[in-house]
Amino acid sequence: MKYLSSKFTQLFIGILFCCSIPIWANDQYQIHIATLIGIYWILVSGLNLVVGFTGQLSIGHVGLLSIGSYAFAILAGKLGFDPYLAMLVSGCLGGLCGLMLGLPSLRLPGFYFAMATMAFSLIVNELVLAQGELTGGGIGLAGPLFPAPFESAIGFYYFVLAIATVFTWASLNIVRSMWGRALISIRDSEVAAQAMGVPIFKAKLIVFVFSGFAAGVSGALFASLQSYITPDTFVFELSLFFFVCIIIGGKGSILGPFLGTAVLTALPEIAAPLAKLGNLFYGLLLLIVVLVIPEGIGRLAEMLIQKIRPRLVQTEPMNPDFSKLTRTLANHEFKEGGQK
Amino acid sequence: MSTTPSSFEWEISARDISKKFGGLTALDSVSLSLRAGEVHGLIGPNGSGKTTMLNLLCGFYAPSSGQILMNSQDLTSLTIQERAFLGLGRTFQKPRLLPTLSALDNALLGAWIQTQSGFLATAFSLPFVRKEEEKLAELAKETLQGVGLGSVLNRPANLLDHGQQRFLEIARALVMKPKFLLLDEPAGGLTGNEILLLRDLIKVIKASGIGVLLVEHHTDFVFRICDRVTTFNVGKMIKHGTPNEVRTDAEVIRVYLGA
Amino acid sequence: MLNVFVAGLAIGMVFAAVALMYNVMYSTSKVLSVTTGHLSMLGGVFGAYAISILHLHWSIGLLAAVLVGAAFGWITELLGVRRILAKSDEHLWLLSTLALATIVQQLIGLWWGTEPKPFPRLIAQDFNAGLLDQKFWLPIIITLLMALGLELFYKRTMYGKVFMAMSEDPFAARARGISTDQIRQMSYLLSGALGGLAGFAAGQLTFAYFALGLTLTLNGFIALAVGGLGSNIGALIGGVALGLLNAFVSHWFGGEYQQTMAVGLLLTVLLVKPEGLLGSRKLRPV
Repeated sequence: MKYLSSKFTQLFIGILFCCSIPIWANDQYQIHIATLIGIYWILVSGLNLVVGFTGQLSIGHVGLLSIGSYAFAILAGKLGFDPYLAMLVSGCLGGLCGLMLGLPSLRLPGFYFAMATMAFSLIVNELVLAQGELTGGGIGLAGPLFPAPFESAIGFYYFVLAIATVFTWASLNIVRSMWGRALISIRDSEVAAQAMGVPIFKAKLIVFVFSGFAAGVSGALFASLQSYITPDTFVFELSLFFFVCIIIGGKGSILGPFLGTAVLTALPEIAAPLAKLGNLFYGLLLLIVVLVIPEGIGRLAEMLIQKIRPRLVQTEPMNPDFSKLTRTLANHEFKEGGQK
Repeated sequence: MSTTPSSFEWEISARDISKKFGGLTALDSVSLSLRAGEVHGLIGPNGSGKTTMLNLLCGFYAPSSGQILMNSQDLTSLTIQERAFLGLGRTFQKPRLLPTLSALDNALLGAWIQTQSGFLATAFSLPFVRKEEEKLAELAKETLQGVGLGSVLNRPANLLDHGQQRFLEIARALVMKPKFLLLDEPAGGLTGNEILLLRDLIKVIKASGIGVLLVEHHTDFVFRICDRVTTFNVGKMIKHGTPNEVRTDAEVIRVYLGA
Repeated sequence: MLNVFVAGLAIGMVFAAVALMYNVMYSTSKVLSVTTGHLSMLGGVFGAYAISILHLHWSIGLLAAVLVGAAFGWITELLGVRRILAKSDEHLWLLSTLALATIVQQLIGLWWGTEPKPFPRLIAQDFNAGLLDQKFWLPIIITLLMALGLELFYKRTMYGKVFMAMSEDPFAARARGISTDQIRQMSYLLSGALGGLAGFAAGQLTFAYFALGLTLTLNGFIALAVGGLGSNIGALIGGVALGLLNAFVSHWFGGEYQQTMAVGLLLTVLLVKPEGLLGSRKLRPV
């Protein structure tokens, strides 16, 4: 039943469109950008659940990306492991680090939590530089390619597309389920969440670990795409970039942050001066969105429509069906759930 | 498994509860009990400790001394969530809904305590997750239709009017299939007509075997539908009994109902 | 060993200064601004600019630092806090101040360059002055003066008492006719000015560096959290603890684990006493 609903049809159409990109793309470079968007989106899709749906302002995910990248480069590159296995391990490592970061920090109030995540990203860089023997220190490591048919630019693009599709599909499933409602309740009314039995810390932690796994996988693919990684790649500003993608896309949306990621990744390529001013631009964008349209650009369309054709709070009288209510209260048996 | 309400002897009680906030004593050694299938009114002037009592029962505060019990089980150290799983539902003085979600999604939040689906199972949309979602959606839908919100199932909660929001909160609590329903000033801001609907709604809830604690300002409303009434003043209980006993008590009249 | 101690004390005092600034802004707005560290960074950068580049007297440099800091503090309140507090979403100010911090950091980076530049000597002194080097003692003395000054301000002046009233109970303050908006603006101006001063004093230690802002925001916050939100003495203790920890760990294990150690300290304290060493349990940080 659910698959007939519009969100999944939208996803399907989107996938079809993405599949067609290599056909009309002009050059390798554009495919490279498209692949990069896909890779970033894998991380952002996980982070979106944390920031946009659970309301936890994590600004340190570049640290998890870095961990995934270095894990992949070390396992598949230096140690010669199978790249698919290495990617999986990178994901799991990202999830594990998400657990280690989340356990002490998710109980902290907003600013404290944000600072903890920021500190985490700085610590990861510090450790990468300090463990030079393992990570190549300031010089960096090579990121190996995946075997055929994914070693070509187009082949790799489809590989990333497939993985991104899985993560998008998983996000959609979470969001349109009891879990989605529980996460949104944590974001919008923690008091109501508690009263409804939602285990707040545990839910935050689970989502955070999932986002760590996504970041780890994204990191592995990132290392492969860039073919060489150094600590300079994983600066705090990249975390800010991911965060801005979500905020301008709008909280509570999957499509919004996706478009945000796509646009913000492609923009420096289209408008060359933006490349140098990139971080300044993201800061300005964030400020404007927060001051003017805190709901995100996704909501901008809604807001404009609201101004043109206002949807008034309609009042129609309530029409209870008490006999139905009596039956409902008597009939549906209570089966205790397991999500404590 | 269908059971008749009267065969359940559930009772939730607060015994000798005191609650201090720093130097302020909000409740001073009060006791209160709520039985299955009864409507128990809790009235008193502002600041008398009614909402504090409700919050203590649900677990939002811990008592400075005293116990909260459900039958013989000590709830005092249980969390809010644990008490929700045991069958305690509530509404809030100011409705706490999720504004961007539809009425149906808001009501469905009440079904969390019946959710078996884990995070990963949900992510992969396993068949039993979808079945469970359908079943719970059916429950929420019927409950909403039952309270009178069937026409606004898909409307976002922030576009509902105040009365509808209050009823939505009650529906959400009913979806929890609670043993007890604690209502915090549910008549606040309702039109006369809506208050009549609320009265009938509470009667239906009571008939189904749920124990209702009604914290309210509208004393007429309380006296009309309650089986028992307790009056608080400045953190102490001043009268407890049937509506008639309380309504005619001299102390209650002096303190609360006016000369 | 004494070298390490003095160096640690000095950098710790810089962190403590930032923690003091957090307290000043938090007391009137209940907001912890990401721009707090950047206020000091501006003091260092503009001080260096005025003295080294424009060849002005150091007192003019100091004035420039204080004025620029105050100005950015005012901007923080205007853009990052005022409009945000009116809306109900709690965490929006985190985003707005983060945005402002990023903007100012990038602008300074574009204008001043991304390399740390040396800060000029303010008092004639040999570069081999060792323990007595002004680069250590300027921040130590200035921060202590700041703390003392704030203490006198709160206890002895009318405005200081108004600040405290507002932090205890903003509703009551408004009811008494206090313009909480104006007081809040003033507190951000004050914090910015103090930041400029602190950054100027610490310039020889930290260098004039565009990326200093974020480092100070984070470390100043750690000092604040360890010492306890709302406590100025706590800010001093937290700052010194962090500074000394940094210095000694770097001395024994090399400078590679500074950030890790700092966060380790923070987490240890938070686990044991979540409100910080001298924080009051009542004060719930947002």
